[in-house]
Amino acid sequence: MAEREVFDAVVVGSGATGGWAAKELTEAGLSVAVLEAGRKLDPATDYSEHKMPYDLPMRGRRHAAREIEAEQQIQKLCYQCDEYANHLFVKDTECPYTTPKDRPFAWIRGRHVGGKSITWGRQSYRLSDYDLKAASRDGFGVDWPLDYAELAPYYDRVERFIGISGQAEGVAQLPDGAFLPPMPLSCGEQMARQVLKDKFGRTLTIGRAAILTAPLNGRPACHYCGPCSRGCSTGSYYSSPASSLPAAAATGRLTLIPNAVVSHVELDDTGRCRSIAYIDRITRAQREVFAKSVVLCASTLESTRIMLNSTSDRHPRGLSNGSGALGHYLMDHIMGGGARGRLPMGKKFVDDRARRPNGIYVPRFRNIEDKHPDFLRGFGFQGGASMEKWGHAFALPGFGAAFKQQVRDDRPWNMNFSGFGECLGRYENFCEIDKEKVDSWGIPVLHISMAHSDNEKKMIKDMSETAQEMLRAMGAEDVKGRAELAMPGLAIHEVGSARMGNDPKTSVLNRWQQAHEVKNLFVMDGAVFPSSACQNPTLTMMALASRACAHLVDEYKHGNL
Amino acid sequence: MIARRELLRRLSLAGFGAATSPAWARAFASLASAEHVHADAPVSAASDWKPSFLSADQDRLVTAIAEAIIPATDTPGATAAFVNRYVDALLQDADKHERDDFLRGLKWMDDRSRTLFGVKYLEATPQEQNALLTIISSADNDSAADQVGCEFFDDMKVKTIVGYYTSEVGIRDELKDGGPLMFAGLVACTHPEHGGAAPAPARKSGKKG
Repeated sequence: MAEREVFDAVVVGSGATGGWAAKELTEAGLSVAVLEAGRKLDPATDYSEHKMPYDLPMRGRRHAAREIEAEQQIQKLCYQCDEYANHLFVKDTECPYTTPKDRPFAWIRGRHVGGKSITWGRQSYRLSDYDLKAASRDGFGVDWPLDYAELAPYYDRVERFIGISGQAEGVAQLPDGAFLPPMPLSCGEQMARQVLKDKFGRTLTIGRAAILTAPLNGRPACHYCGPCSRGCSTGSYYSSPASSLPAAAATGRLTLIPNAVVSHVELDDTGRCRSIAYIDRITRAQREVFAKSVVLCASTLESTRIMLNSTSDRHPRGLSNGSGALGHYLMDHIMGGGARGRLPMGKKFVDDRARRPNGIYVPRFRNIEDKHPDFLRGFGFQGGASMEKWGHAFALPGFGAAFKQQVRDDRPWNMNFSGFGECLGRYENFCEIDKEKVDSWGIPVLHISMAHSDNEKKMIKDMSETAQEMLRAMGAEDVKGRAELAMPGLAIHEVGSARMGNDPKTSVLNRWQQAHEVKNLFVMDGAVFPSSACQNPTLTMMALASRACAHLVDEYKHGNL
Repeated sequence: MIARRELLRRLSLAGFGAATSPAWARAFASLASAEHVHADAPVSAASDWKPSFLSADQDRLVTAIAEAIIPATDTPGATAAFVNRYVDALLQDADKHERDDFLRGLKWMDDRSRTLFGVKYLEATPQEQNALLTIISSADNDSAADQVGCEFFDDMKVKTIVGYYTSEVGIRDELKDGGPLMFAGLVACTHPEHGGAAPAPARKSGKKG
């Protein structure tokens, strides 16, 4: 019998951070196995960004045929899980979880090589010390165990490889990065930028997106076909299969194992990680991958689930859970507050931006200089202004040739602002193992219990009011506000539940994302966030993974793993 | 190690269950073979198309009403856009409640036409058809007798708008949108009053399949 292979590192998950960790570690000389619960995608058949609505029976407007829909009762709550792309989301019937009746949570997932880096929104913003040291500023929660100066070089490193298009603005709470040329603003957005600057002293900038506006590292620039969330055949936005995983494979030190549904971590007699146990998704055989170090990048809740399922005499409450913090302080950005209105643009300004796969961003302006009386922290606005093509037809009266002509003539310029706000990290928002239920592979599932607090509710109200105020200042008509706090999970920015910190009594991981109690276990995804900030989290997860990998490699080279 | 043993027990039980339960067997088969279900090829353009849910008469009625809502003018209308086929596909996939509502509406159109004009809708004159549609499309019509008709019209209008503007002729001919084009760059706002000054880059288009 051949001697069993022991990898230098095994990475669980092949998404945005798993791909990045694989690249960093293999390029540093380590042998790495990447385990992915799902299959490999084939861009030729799985990506549908060049499909037109008339290529589909329901014109892409419906989720999918009824029998498929029945398997995705949660996933279909995500607007991207539609007829074009529902196969890029899990079947809820295969991977269930439970919640209390009065605390629903939408857990949106994609299990395939690349994970959610195939379907993500691509918006990429840096955090600042306003976020990382927020607890010191307002007294709530805990600071991050690192500051912006320490993280900035890793943001640079990630951005230079994956490519972020954007405009430098010099806003302290939204640090500039190493940007590719920005995509242009539309006429309506140019006007909005001016009004926000003149009347509110706020910045409106083009979205900072992980979409190439110029070729980079062998990947071609975006060709603006539009619907990125259905996959990108040219790999022009960052997804791990188009970017970091090929880089890792090029080292010759990557072993990618798809269809590997990880159940738990196995420890050796000394209490260090020995291997990862997984179930072959198709044959259901139980298998084990041995490694000198374990890196969890399975996604916020899956990484925590793996740790909670890795119980032993040494770790009866889950791996590295002496603090009792594992599973707790779960967060997801709040959304559901904003407004839309019709801009006074007239037909003169035809919108011919083709299909720009990007919107605008208004960086957080609350609780920066001033102190808001109703809530802590803040929110950023995303959205955009564009000329309707035919969506306005539903509201036009009548029928016939006159109606058709009116749809053609009366194309309004609409502007929308939608807030993404910080969710405070609270012990009461948590996940634990549901002892009654297993998934399709027999692995105990999560029970997720989360609800937003008063702070979030008040912030949603402010989002709506400020968005309306800004639209009115632009002279917009038919301004309509929204202030309906969305179900937790639906922002798909879930973070926390295995937070890092300097104090082992209140955190699961140290400042290098290394488990306090198991030195060769690292978590390198959103689970580590001590607070959520309000910026889209993926870029920060990747920068943190980059930094944690540097530490892992250092430990490895010093023989500590 | 009790918890760990418990975990393994559950794992092995689940594996065993897979071989015996019909639900498992189905899931297993779909994993091993197709992996996921692709939507069928669109039916909309087939020359031998027949409705799946609607009868031939009902299909003709749907076709006529859709064309009345978005007629052929200097660009093709709802018939050329196969809106009726889209409506049939929606109904084929719909639940009983949606189907019943729709069929009640179709029947109401013929019944009302007989009451008003003595013939069913398709046999009425274009002026009569137009008059009936005008009645049920009016936002001010709150007559109880017209309620089914008004709701049906609203439903048909939504279906026709979506079906038309997402069709090939709707997108290419009416919206003058070239379809899945590849653009070399994005055209920026160049209007000085918006502070825009970027020169418009050349717009390179090439059809992408």
